Amino acid sequence: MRGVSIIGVAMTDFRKHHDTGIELFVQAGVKALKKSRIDPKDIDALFLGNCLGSFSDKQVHMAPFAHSSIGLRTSVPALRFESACATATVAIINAILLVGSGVYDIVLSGGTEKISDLSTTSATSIFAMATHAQYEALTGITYPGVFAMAANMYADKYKINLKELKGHMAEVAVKNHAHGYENPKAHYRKKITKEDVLNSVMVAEPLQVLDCCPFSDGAAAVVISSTDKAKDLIKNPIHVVGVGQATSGPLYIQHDLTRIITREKASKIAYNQAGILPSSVDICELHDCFTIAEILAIEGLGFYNFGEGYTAATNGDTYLSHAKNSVVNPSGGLKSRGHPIGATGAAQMVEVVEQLRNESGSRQVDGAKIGLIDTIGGDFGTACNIVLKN
Amino acid sequence: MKKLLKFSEYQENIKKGRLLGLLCQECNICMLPSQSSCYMCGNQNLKVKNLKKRGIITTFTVIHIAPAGFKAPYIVAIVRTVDNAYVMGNIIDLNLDKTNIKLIGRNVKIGFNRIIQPNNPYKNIFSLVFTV
Repeated sequence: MRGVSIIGVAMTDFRKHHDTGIELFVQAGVKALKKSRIDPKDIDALFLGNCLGSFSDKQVHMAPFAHSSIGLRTSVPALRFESACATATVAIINAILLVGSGVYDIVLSGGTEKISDLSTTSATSIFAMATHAQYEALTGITYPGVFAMAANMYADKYKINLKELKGHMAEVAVKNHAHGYENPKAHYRKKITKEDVLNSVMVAEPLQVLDCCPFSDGAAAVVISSTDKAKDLIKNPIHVVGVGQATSGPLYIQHDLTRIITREKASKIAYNQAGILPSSVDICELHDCFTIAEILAIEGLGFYNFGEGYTAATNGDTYLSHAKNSVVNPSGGLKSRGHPIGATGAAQMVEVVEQLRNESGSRQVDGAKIGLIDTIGGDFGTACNIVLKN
Repeated sequence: MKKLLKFSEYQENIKKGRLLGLLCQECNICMLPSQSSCYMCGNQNLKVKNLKKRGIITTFTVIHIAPAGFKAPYIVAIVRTVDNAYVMGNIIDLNLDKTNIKLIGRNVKIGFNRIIQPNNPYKNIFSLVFTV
């Protein structure tokens, strides 16, 4: 496979928007093209991530409308990808693979989601459609419920008092809100305390509202180019050095919910391709849809031993200001930056690329050279990891 | 390869009081739902098995914010049956104030509950319920 690089990235603010999902992606896409110093005519394909638009926007076949609105050539294919919360990352990975294999030279990818017009009940119902419709959804399981079951299993498996574990989970939220406070694009730029989390409304025991990421609107776009071409276009392309994606079936056949096997497989592939160890990662944007999810992720990605990651945020080890190893979610993560489902993986890439380019302002991790993206789709059925290097 | 134990067949057997799963003849793992190969070893030599309706809770949660069509609070759990199949269902007949982490590892009996959801495309179907 030939070298693949990221040449331009852009995202909208993540918050409640009045614009449509397509309009949001067009805003991000046009900015990403400008930053890449290319015109719409230079794009060979559009790989657009969108998860819930069929319900929230009442829009299927979204990619061609985004394509024409951005002004891409008629001969250019436009595809919509869906992989639950990993939607954008899967779109990006497919773009990387087709550029790497020489099918295309430059692909515009990323994702968009517009969900805030739905009520919490409707949004919860639609999100839950990513569980198995016949064997899981009939129980009324929700996504907070999935991760709540993982949290209970974690406490039982490692013999940690649940109250103590909840305190450490709350510290993950405190940390990611502290990071998001510094991010002008973040949905919730508000510092919170451990007590705020522990006093918030119960969603799915033991997860409370402030253990959960918000429903956000937003879009993010990335321009993926062959490295040869990238060097002619911009001064500082960011290189893709490892890509991994793994798949499994429904949640209940995964047995141990504290070990997300798809992530372990995907990250191993990505690390091997990149020729690095987990300890080489300077910054990581990972899938903290719930506070327990970040704890599972830092263990599954190899930053901590299994059963030992739960104190990381409490100890300050994953903070921007004094990280022990990798800085975890400098953008604020899904928790604070926000989680427009179909756009999340692309927003993770925006943050990592800007960090590796030393463009992150008050959130900048000094000397960051290697960044990792980690996105989970559904109830652990899809996992994606991408390693980037400057 | 014929796909064994389709959803309709699984549901028809529930109406007769039977919980059917698939047993891998190679690695002895029991599984749901219908599939053509074992998810553990990939072998296609699977046999339909009438599962014992008992098991232990491996994890659970109490849902307080429910999707449309469900009335919170209620308990969702995963149970490992005595035949070593993992299934998801609702714990019923338990005072919600009495739920705590010690539920994990408790024995349950497995039963069936008819689903009444006007918008569900599958009519006259059942989900699993657990009694402690």
